[in-house]
Amino acid sequence: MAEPEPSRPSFTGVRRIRKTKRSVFVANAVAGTVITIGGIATILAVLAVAVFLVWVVAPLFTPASVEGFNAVSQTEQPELLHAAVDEYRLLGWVLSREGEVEVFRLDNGARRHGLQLVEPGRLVSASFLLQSDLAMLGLEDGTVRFAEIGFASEILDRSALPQGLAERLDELPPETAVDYLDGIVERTPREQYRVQRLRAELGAEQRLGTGPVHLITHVPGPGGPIIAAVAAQEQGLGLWIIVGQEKSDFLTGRSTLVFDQAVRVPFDDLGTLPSHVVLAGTGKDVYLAWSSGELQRIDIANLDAPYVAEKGRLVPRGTALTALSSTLGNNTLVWGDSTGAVGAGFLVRLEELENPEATGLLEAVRHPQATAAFTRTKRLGTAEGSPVRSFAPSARSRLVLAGFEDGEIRLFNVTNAAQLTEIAVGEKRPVLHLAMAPKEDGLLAVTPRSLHFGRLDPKYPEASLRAIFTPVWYEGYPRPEHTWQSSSGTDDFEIKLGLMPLIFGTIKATVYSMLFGAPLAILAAIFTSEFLQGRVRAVIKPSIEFMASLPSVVLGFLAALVFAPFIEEVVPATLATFLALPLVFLLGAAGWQLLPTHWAVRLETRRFFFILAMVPVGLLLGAVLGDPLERWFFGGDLKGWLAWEGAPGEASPFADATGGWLLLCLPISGLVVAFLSTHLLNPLMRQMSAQWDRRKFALVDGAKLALGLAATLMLAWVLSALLSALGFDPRGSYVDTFVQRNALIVGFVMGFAIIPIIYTISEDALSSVPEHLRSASLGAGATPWQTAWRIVLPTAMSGLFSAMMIGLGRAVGETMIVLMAAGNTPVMEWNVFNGFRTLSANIAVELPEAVRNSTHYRTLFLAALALFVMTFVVNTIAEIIRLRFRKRAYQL
Amino acid sequence: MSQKSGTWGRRRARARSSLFAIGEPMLWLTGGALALCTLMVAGLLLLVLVRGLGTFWPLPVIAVETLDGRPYMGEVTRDDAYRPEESLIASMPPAIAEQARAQLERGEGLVGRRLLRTGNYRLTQNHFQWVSNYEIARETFPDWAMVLEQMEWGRFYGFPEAFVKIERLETPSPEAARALIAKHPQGSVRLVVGSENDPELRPVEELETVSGLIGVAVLADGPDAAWEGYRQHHAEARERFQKRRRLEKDDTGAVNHRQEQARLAVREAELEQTDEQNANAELEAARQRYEQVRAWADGEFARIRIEIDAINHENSRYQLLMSTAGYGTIPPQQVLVRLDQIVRAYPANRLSWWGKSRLFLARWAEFLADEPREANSEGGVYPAIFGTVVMTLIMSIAVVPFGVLAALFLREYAKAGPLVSSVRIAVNNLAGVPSIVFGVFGLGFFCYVTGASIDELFYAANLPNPTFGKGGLMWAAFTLALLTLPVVIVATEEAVAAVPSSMREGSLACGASKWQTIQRIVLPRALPGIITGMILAIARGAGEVAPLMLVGAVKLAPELPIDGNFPFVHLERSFMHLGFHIYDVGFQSQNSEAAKPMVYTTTLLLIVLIALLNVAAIWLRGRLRKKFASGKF
Repeated sequence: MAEPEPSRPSFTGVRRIRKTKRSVFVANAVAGTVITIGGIATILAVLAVAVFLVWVVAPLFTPASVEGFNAVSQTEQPELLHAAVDEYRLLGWVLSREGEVEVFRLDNGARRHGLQLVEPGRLVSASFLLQSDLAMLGLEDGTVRFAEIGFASEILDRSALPQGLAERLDELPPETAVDYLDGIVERTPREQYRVQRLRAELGAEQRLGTGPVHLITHVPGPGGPIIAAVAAQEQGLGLWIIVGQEKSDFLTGRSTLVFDQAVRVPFDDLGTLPSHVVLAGTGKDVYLAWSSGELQRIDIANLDAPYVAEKGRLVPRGTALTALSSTLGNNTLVWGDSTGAVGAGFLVRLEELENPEATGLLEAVRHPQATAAFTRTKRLGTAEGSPVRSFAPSARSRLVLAGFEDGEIRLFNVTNAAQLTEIAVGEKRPVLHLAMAPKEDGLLAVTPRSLHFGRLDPKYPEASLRAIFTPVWYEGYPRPEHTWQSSSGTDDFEIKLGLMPLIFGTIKATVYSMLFGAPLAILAAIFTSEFLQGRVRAVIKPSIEFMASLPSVVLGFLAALVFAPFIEEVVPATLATFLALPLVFLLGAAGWQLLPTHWAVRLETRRFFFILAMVPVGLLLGAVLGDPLERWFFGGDLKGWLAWEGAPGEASPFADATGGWLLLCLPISGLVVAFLSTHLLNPLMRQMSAQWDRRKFALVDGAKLALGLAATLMLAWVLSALLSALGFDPRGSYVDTFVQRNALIVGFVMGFAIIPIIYTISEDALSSVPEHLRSASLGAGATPWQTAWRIVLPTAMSGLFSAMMIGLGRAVGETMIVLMAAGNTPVMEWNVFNGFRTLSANIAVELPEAVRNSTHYRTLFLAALALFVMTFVVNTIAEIIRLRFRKRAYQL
Repeated sequence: MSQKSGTWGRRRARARSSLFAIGEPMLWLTGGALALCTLMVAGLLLLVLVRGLGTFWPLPVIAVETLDGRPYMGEVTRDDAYRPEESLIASMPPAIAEQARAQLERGEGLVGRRLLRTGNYRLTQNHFQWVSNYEIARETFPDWAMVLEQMEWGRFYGFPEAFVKIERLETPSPEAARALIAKHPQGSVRLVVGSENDPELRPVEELETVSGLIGVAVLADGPDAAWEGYRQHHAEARERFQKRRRLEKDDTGAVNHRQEQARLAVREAELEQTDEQNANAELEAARQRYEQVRAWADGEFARIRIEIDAINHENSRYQLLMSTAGYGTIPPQQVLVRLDQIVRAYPANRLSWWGKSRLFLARWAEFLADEPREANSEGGVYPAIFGTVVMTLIMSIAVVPFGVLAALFLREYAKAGPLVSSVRIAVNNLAGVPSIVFGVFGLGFFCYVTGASIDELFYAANLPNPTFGKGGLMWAAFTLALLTLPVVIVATEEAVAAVPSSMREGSLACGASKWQTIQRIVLPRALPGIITGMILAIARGAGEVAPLMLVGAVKLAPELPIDGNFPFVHLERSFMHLGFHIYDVGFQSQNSEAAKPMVYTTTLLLIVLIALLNVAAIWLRGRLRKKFASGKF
């Protein structure tokens, strides 16, 4: 840059302005700043993608928290049957054994209302539901009675409030409650006035026995609630199942519950009073448990013929069962014992369960008709010596609160057996009752001398590294599994967030498409760079490169709606074509060698067109071979063979596994034979063939090819017959039932998508091998093929590797093709004829429907982050290799 | 390579060099790989080209009568061979079973079948019908078989019976009808009963007995007359129909828009009012204004309604009486089709080559310039083309300046070192990060974070309905800009790096400042590379679908992102996109068989668009290179 200097007379005598204009300096400075700031900002913005993904994902792994957990009341508490919290965390109620429902404020414990539901001394037991206010009361005289206990909320107009109350509410922050009538009123953030009051009503009743109803439970059934009750009668105890029915009154439109049918079902009376009764599912089974640890399951699916399906122990001998509860959906039972151990279990179909002795009930005795076994699947937390006293399941997920004798409260997620948080009421008071707020945002604990309330935030309980990446034993499954199932129609569905099936699908798609695309692309690149005429090359290279910018949605559409239905019709021919194509090229080469020298030389520049012409021959051969292949090896029906599921010895045309093995073994044995022939046969023949003329060599080489083919077939057949005779069957692993949209199609079309990119980069790498290396090699007497194979290829090897890595990166993240052609079922099997679901397709399908900031949403972001990391790592490796290769190429 | 020796014959052999060295089999295998790749590329393009171009070519209409007396008429869309189950043949009537067995024997266990597009969905609840060859008793190509492409219910295949012109009676009474009937020649008149939108024809003899008489229809009987009537009146009817559609959409839309604006103004004033208790004058004004606008809008709606009714009234007068193919025990059914509901009609088997070409071009014109009908399976893709182009434009406006800035910074301003080279590698690798990841980022960051904040600040009146807090044109363009940014950065960087440093040094030595050097020496010479990068980015952006599924592409956008309502460009709106259209029509369509040809055509369009962009890139690069080639030292 010109520095302003003191002016002096110039050589020519003409004075010029030597001072640089101010504007130039300003422009320079401004441009420098703008470019620097803009450049850095742009780069940061691009890199921010990863940061943002991490920012969204990170909260998934924050632990649950309890805030403001305080004693709201320090008074002596009566003996309670139940405690509950309202939806807005303002009021709580408890039902005492004296039959009184008491409502109190959760912020200061002030009593707001008391209601004597039944006369003192009559109430013995009660049962409540998670998602409704319907309760069942068991009374001392042997009657059971419907009741509705809960909070009714009502939105009031400002004018409906008493004088001065609205003004008082306006001064307070929203969501602060003020006493009103026998409840409270609060101003909501949406400027409404909401009143909350207790609503408790008694309904119909029915008499069961003569003695008190010791235990009662109920679940919502298809037509009305199903109730199980243990009541005393003249001779010992009786277990009743009562079916309730909803009757709607046509005049008032209100529906009332009535008792429909009461059945006494058998159970094995142990002489003592059971401590718990639980109904499972929609009332198909009833569990009776004793504090000694005994458990009986009575199958009541058919109320005409109930039977004791199973009996055994939940906890080992010597420990007592201290608490038992079902969780949302009533399928999973959680229990606690006197050592403080918490367990969870559910029913599993007996025939699928692998080891009923190890996971089933201890000392189990099963009824011959029993088709399912109660399975102890999980241990939550550790046995710390203090007995479990109470449970409170959540009304929206598989969370459960457990209260202990020493005042500890722990929050567990049953699905992945994780302890989320723990908190203590202090002073080692036993936690007799627990309640979780309906939205999982509050917890109420009752000890003999105090009430405690705190705000709970479970954060993202369903997600943990273990739940996402390791097998989880989901409800009803026979074993822990990797499963992805993020949504379902029902409320009490257990969300399954195992990403492994999706990662597996991604890997499967990548592997099959690389298997197809990479060899083709690299071989094609070698031919293009080393053997193709300049003019042909100028046409072919750009046209393959153009494919790189072909939208993948086009490929996906063709894959799913054109190729998939077509290939479904011609599976055997397709398989035959895979074998026929290399074969015809080899035959073509053998034929070419037979040409007289002068012809061969003359036609050499047009060899590629002859090779092109072999492709239709190969396709034709494949089409012709398809039928015989199917007839010889697959009992005349390939799809039937694939879907066949019988024992190996069975008499069926599909029983023989040889054909499948043969197909799998052929490529391997082909490679083995090729290897043997180049390393054993060729050195031998090289000596001999030196003296032969071209024709003789061609004939001998043709014979060698024929021999090699025969050897390949023999080897493959021997291998497959051996494997088949040993009882191995490829079905179930790499080949299995045929599905229209499968990995073969995706491999083919996605291979197609990655060919251009691998081809271009490999071709560039091969072409950038310095010309003097080739010249030297050719000058030293090597043939073009020797030059290509021994000089060019090793030099360009890292470039080819990097090309493959970049192709791999593209295959990993490809979305539209797999979304359209892979069927999108998250299964984990290598079967080439079955579909899969990849991370990318899963995101595309589910993210638009995912609720913002839910666990599901964040888990999908985790999937995106996984994709990001996978491709970024692969690409970085490729890039580093490429740079190194480039440096080496310059040095050569 | 090029120095391939051709003299490895006998002489070499004597020199004790082995023929194995030539490696002919391996050569053929590598060549075979290339041949396969080439043929796959060519085959794919050919498939799309043939199927895409063939979509709009009118096919002859075939009438098939089956042995058990069912008539089918339609276009053959596909034919193939299949293996019928033995139980199926056993359950067939003897005549068919016999023919089936005979054909099976000839076809070695396979029989042919054809998929006929039979249309007439309202009558048959079916768009397509498989007809096996063995069922066929007779097939003909009826001379007057007509294809009607309708606005609704897909296509209609049938014979034109008559052109119907309805004359309405002001006061429906037998006397008035009699007077009208007398004006026309006998036999050409029918009574019209029912409603205006669903009229029914009755013979004149029933005059005394019919109920619900609304007018009298004058028939021009015979296919020739019907066709002639159609040709005379169709254009006018369609014109009126288009006018009605404009009234329904544009005019009503504009009124709605103003009303909505006024309502939002009220809501905004309400929101402000909670802050200051006393200043409700503004709110009052807004409310008054809203009342005014509403009164005005009601008037406008009434006016538009009257206009629409008038047009509808006039258009309902022109109808085509069609009859379906009948055969055996099944009589032909007669159907009245309103002229304005017919997009186009043609006697398929009477068309000359020239007529077919005109139809072909007309269909292409409709495809390119019209809106989709029938759940995207018919009509045009104009909104999708529009959406793709606008989105790509916004994307390139966003991506190029920033890409060039970043590249200039990396090459010219940043000090070379491990940090810069690792940043370079990172940026390079971002080009390989899956597009769906950018889509996830776009949804999470642009829509849910940035968009939600914008909504809270500027569009609070519309909450809880999101304005920018959902997928939309701008967010889609920004997402794709981010996705293509690495492409532009890398291309620009390479172009800038390729400018010889001697030129830079020369410029600096002459006393130019750094910016002057960049501005006058580096950038012009790097321009070809930058533009190539930009076009490649556009080509990639135009073909990307996965991220758009998350950030705003929809199957049917009710409004274009640019229209006559202030502020004219609506960046927050959802839009249609060609690539997404392919996915949607191919996979989410109910009538997928009918939609498939449209997918091919859309695919062809997209490929052509992207090929053009690529060719433009190559051409531009060549031209600019030539222009600056002399500048080399």
